[in-house]
Amino acid sequence: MNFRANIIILLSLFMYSITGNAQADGGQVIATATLGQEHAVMMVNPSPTTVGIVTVIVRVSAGLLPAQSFLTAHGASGDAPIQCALSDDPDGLGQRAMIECSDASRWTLSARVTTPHGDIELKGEFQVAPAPPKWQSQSPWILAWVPIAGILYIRQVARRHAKHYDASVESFLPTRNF
Amino acid sequence: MNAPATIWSAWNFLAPFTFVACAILIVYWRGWRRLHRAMPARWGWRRGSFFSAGVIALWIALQSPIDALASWLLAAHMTQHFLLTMIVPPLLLLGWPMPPFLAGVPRWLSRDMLGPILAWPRAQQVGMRLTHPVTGWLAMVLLTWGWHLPVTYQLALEVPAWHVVEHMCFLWGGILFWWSVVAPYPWRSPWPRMAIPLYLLSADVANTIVAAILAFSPSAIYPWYESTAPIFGVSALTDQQEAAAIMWVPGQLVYLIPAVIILFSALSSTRSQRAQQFKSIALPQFSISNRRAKRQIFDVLALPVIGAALKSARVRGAIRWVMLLGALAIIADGWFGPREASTNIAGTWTWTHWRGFAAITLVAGGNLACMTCPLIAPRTFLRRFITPRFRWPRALSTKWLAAALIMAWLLSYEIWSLWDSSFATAWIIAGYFVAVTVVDLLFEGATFCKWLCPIGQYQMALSVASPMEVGMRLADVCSNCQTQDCLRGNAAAPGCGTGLFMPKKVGNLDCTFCLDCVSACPHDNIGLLTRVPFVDITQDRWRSSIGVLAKRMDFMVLLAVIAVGGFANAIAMTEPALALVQYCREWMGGNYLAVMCVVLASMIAIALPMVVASLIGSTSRVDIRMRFSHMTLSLLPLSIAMWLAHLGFHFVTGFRSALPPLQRAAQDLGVNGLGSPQWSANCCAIMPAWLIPAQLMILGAGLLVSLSLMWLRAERSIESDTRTSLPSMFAVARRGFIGMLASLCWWAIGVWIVLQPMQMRGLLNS
Repeated sequence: MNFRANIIILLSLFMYSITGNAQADGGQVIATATLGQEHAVMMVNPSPTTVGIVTVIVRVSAGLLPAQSFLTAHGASGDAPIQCALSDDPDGLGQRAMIECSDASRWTLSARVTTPHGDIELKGEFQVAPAPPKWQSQSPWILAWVPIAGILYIRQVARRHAKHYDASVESFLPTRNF
Repeated sequence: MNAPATIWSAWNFLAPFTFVACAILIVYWRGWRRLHRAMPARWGWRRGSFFSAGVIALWIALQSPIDALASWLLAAHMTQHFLLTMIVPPLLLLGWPMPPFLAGVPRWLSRDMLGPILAWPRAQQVGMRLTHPVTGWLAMVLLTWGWHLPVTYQLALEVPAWHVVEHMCFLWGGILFWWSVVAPYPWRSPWPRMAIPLYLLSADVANTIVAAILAFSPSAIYPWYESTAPIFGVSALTDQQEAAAIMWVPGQLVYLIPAVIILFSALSSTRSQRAQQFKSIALPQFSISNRRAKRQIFDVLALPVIGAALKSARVRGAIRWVMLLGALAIIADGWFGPREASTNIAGTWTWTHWRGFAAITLVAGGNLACMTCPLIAPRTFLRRFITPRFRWPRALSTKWLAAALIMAWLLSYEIWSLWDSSFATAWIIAGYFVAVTVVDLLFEGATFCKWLCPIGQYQMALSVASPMEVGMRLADVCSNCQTQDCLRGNAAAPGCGTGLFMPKKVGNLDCTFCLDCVSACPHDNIGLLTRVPFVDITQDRWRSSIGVLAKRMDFMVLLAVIAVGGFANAIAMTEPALALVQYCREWMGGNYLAVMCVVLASMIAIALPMVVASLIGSTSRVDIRMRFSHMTLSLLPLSIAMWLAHLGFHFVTGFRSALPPLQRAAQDLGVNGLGSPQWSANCCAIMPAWLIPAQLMILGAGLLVSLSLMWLRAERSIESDTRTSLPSMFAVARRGFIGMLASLCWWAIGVWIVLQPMQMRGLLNS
């Protein structure tokens, strides 16, 4: 029981620092269009975009729902364009697809959105930068031990300077002005 | 705003933060319960409710549809920020979180980790400065202004990493600001309480200025929302005015209400009441003694079903017979099945699945691989009819032979590409069975396991990292025992085949987890107990059947070979190593010679930091052999991490390749019930995105343990030299420097290996 609790507690302490996590989409708006009073927008993320998997998000006003989107993407390399249908987002706000941008160049995206009120064409471009070296993209994981080592080091320093640290828990509570 | 009705389905219930929030609440309520028992008046339900409401508000801010809408509507984003800065921090602080957290975390963590840091005067100074009202006020005002500038706001919308930073700034800035207002127990404000209304009103003015700029701006300040807000039927400007209204009106209320409450409270209380209030703030009394808390030990054998099953010699024997059937199936398929290893269970199960699974269970559980070893099933059966007559020669009772066999195993694995030959694999397993049976029918005890088995030695070395060990439940019972059945055996069960005497047994080395000692013990005093991983290799005390580990050079060489082998085995599958083999093959003309040279060269290169550190390191003033021993033991965790990262990689990438060979073998036998093999699972390795980060994290964990052991060794050696406790940090760092450098070298090699393109062994395209 205690063993399991320890694992949960360790995990919570480790992850408490990421409570500022954001799930919302962000990225780069690359195209907007209107159909009467209704609007559509296309964005890509992550931003800045590098070689690899890129998420394309298409969203339309509620008045245009339900909508179906079909995407065509190509880079400057002259390879065959990527064509795919977008799938519905879980939040019901729009549709998304993941494409693999294989070369570092300027990519062109065009999406045809079919709605009950007619079709909308969204077309835009975005720059794909070369993929960073593997050690660079993995550097947060490579160096994940450093903060823990830092805490252990601070603890060693504190052991040498703290007074009564090995007494009961009440001595852990700072006494002066706390 | 006309968001579709489906937006309300955008709750992110299964996000990692949900589990984090639950874990935070568990820790808090665990500590709160202890405090409530000691001081029910001070720690009432109100405190817990405030804190829980704060965590729930935080969860709503981050995982509800508000978050999904935040990048489309400024008003939604403002609501999210309002929750993060104005609602969540005061609620969390009203729960007085610090004492419950200290009481809620495990005792070792509060005592050994948080205790020294919190009682460190410098940490207290930093704490006082951070929680000073001036810091809180500046944090709130500057962060509010800074993050509402168009350039920073736009950056947060475009780059997810900056969005995270923005949210963290708002949350932690809010906590610093509200700290002085709430004054969470047992913190005492350096300012008089009467100053807090002014503190709040001045911050309100700063907030109102930003809200007014947003409200009265003639155009949209943030270009992002010009594209996204119309999706919801509002113009960017209207959206901005709605956001300003949220910031202005509810924002102002959140500042003004506590200001009024504090003002009235301060004016209505008399001097004596204030003095009484001040006096009543006493530090909490926890029911923890000054002595080091005894670690709670969990015993697997005490569990109702699993424990009873493991204690039964019949059940353990049955498990081994089932494993034996599996081994016989592997041998049969290796001999008579297709030669292509990836289509044969001898090729896939043996090298991809069993090795990876065994490594994971060794580190996560215990030496379950030896416990379920099918090799000892035949010998156990045959010993009913044949009694071994001989004792293993004393001259061979060392680990030298085992070390040589491991070396031979590592080399032959690469030279003959054993993973790629199901036929050779089947012969090796069959030969292994014969060797174990012959040796153990000739010699007493578990001679093969203890002195010869290279797989067993490797597994016992890895189980140094296990959180489980076979140990005595109560020391007093063993000290009064006269019969020593755990060692000698009795009519019920044989004693320990590897000669371990339970009261003197330390750690998992030489323990096969066979649990014969459990069956033999007449006092039911042996259990499968939890322990602190690696703790035994920090100790130089005498241990049963081994002696002082650091003085056993044969043992140290064995562990060094396993440690170096972990890296060499992984290097051999990287593209640069394969290219080097190809180059050597062309240069030397022989394939076997080229592979052997590359493997040996890599082993020498990997061993070099360890050897050099042993030669020139100054971890202690003892002789070079002890330095080598300490270096080997300290580097062992890093090597175990490498084994785990490497074999875990094959296990994960080749996981789906287990079924098709079984389906093929079943079809060969005329059994079609398992379906047709889908060979795509055996030709295309799927590498999940989390795998490389997980490997790197495992290596990092191994490095941390190795560095800690180096530090501990250096500290102890100075303490023994100077007869002082807690030597200076500089002295310890200087003494352990070379060893730590060697650890970093090995870690760097490990990281390099993980980041290399890998040969997908055991798969069709390898």
